[in-house]
Amino acid sequence: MMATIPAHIDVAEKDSGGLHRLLRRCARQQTPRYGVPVKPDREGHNILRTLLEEVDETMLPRRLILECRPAGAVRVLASNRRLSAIEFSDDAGPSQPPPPGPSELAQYYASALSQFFARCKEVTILPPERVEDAVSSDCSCSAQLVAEAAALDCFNDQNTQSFESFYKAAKAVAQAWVEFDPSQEKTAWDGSAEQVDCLEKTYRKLPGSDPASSHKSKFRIGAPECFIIPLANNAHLIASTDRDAWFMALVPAAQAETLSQHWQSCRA
Amino acid sequence: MTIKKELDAARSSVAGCTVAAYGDASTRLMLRSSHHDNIRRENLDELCNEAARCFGLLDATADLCNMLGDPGGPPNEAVVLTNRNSTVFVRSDKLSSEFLCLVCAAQGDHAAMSSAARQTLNKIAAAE
Repeated sequence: MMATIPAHIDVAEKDSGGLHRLLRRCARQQTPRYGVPVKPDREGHNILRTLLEEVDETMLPRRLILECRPAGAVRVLASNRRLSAIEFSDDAGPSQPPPPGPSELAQYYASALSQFFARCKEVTILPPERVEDAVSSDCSCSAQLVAEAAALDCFNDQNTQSFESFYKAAKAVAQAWVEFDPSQEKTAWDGSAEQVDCLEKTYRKLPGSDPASSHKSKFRIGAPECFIIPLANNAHLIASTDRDAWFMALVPAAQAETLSQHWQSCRA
Repeated sequence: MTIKKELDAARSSVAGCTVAAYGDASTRLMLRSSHHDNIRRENLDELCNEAARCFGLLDATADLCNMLGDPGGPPNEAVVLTNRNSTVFVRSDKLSSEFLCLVCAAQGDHAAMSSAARQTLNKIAAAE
């Protein structure tokens, strides 16, 4: 049974933060299945922000449906914290096909969704539906990238873009380093085979790093953290994690403090 | 000197230190702590979880330690930086589940934090 929040609870006016998140949690838990009505602001940015936050919390493939009055409806396919496809119920969607490349795709999604939401007077966000089929990643980009393309201020405290200079500085001084993506694949590395192998073994030994128990892991918390561990022979291990991606580097002790300051300046 | 007074002393000895706490990572219990009134039990619980995560990483560095020629086993301290604060976790050499942590609100002096945490933990261990 589908129900809506009582009319006297105006989510957009009362609190666009805590209450709204609570209502969306109720929707996600499906106890009972609520639809969450939201009134768009002039540019529809609050709807887009809500949608992107929902996408960012979606790991397994889900179809997010937004009933929009009077514009129609939009269906968004999300998986692995990425937006994979959008489908508009009327012909208001973009006439061009999605472009290749994450940045162009993010701009495309941001533009199409903002224009659509700007024409709506009220949007009801329905509980996500499970999607059994695997989602193609050809047309997907992260919710963060779409937020940046739309110049939204969400994800500011966890924006991976701001880590780029830290990674660059760490790689420049590291004896060895390894990067792992959220699916725990080793994606890039540098250093001697022995050093890289040891770094990878360290990562694989982290609690919950095996795929079978990864959902239980205390480490898979998503929030950015940087661990600095003094080792023997004037070496330090730097282990930085952000949204389940990991960067591990073996650095000289003399560089560890500088890198920690660099990391915190990225978070400022 | 009681554990509470040791923690008070450790907190006041490090500039910007907001929390000094002594706990057990295996049971995820914070046994004693020194902090301002605005720190809640949930904050301390989260520090225990953070300590357990941190020590999991320390234990995972065995291969790195072997490669670096350190026969002494995994290290016993780490600095954890988040977007809110920096925390030093130091665990006991003898009972690795007991730990002491110092939290600084912003960029802290990690060397001073580490030294104060280790000294305090040693004093507590000696008094037991």
